[in-house]
Amino acid sequence: MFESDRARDGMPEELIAALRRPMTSTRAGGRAAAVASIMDAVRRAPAPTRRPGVPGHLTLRPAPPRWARRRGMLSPVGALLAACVTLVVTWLGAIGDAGRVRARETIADSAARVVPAVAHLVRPGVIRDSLLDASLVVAIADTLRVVHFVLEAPRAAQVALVGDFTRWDTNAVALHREGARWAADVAVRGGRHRYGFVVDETRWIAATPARAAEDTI
Amino acid sequence: MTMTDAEVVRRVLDGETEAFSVLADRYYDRCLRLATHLLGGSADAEDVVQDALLRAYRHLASYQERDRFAAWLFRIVVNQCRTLGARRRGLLALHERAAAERDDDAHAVDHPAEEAALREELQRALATLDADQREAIVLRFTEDLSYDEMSALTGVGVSALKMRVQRACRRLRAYLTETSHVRV
Repeated sequence: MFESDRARDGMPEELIAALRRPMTSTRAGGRAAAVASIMDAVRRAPAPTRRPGVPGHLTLRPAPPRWARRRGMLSPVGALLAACVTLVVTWLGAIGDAGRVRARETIADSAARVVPAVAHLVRPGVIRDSLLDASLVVAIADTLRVVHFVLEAPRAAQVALVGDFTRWDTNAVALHREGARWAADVAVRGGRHRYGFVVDETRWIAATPARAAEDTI
Repeated sequence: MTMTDAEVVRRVLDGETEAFSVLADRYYDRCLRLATHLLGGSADAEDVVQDALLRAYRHLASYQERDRFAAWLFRIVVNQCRTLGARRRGLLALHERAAAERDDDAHAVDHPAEEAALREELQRALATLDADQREAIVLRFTEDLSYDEMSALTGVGVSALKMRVQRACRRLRAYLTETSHVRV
């Protein structure tokens, strides 16, 4: 249910799924009554008739504006104008881009307790049972939030996010590398959630350095 | 054997009025979902869907078979929503309607309260978008229309639609996103 950021056009799959959930009719009699009401109105309406050769009022394709229907070569004045515009655009492009400012929106959740972590050697199969108390905690105040998880681990080859919202499955959420960081966006429902990171399938990144794992490699 | 949309349209135009019930039944749910997302409430959405399907019936002769019937129908729904949206005073009553829907919601399969709360959260998020952006994102992700279909449906160019979808996605993510940052 809670999966990694397999976003399409920048939209997380969970939100797409929420948009596609069916709606139910709130009318008395439900959907069947609503459709029956539509058919009652249809029966009372004048029947549509074919009118070949006559354009309808409702067409899917909007009529192109008059200027777009003209075909053929540009006039000499038009060609000169187009050349001037091309030169100006090229000149502006040659000046260069001032640079892109990347704004990362981060909203700190005051209820979340994030503490520096120390790696523990763990056996993947017992993460939940043995390290539940040592996991990180994130508290989501609202019904649904997309949480941007970030782990700074420049020497890691692969990083996975595990938590109660992934059923502690190490294959559920793979973070993607962003330079020295690893990140993923995950839709998380309201409540308090425990989570951590598994680095290179062998190291568990948790919150409490003093607590040792009972199961180690 | 299931009739295609084009076959049903032909039958209706040949005088079989009752054949239109096939299209009404086939597309009612999708039209209701589309209108609900665009308007932010199901009560008005049902009126819009009824008007849209009736309008589609009256103008069925203008439907051209080279177009997908669904896209043609959705254009009517979108226009009806635009008309109603322009008449109403925005989405000020969104929360009241959402609360009413929560009371009426008795059809969620699992965890009814969660489903209703999630839907309300999504509607709240959609309400933060401009009408154009909301329309673009709903058409793109709810009905899975291509950008070409969206362009024909809305009359807006493909590039502009892509920009609207991108901006809408950014705003939705900003509205719904929090960050958890850990350093090793």
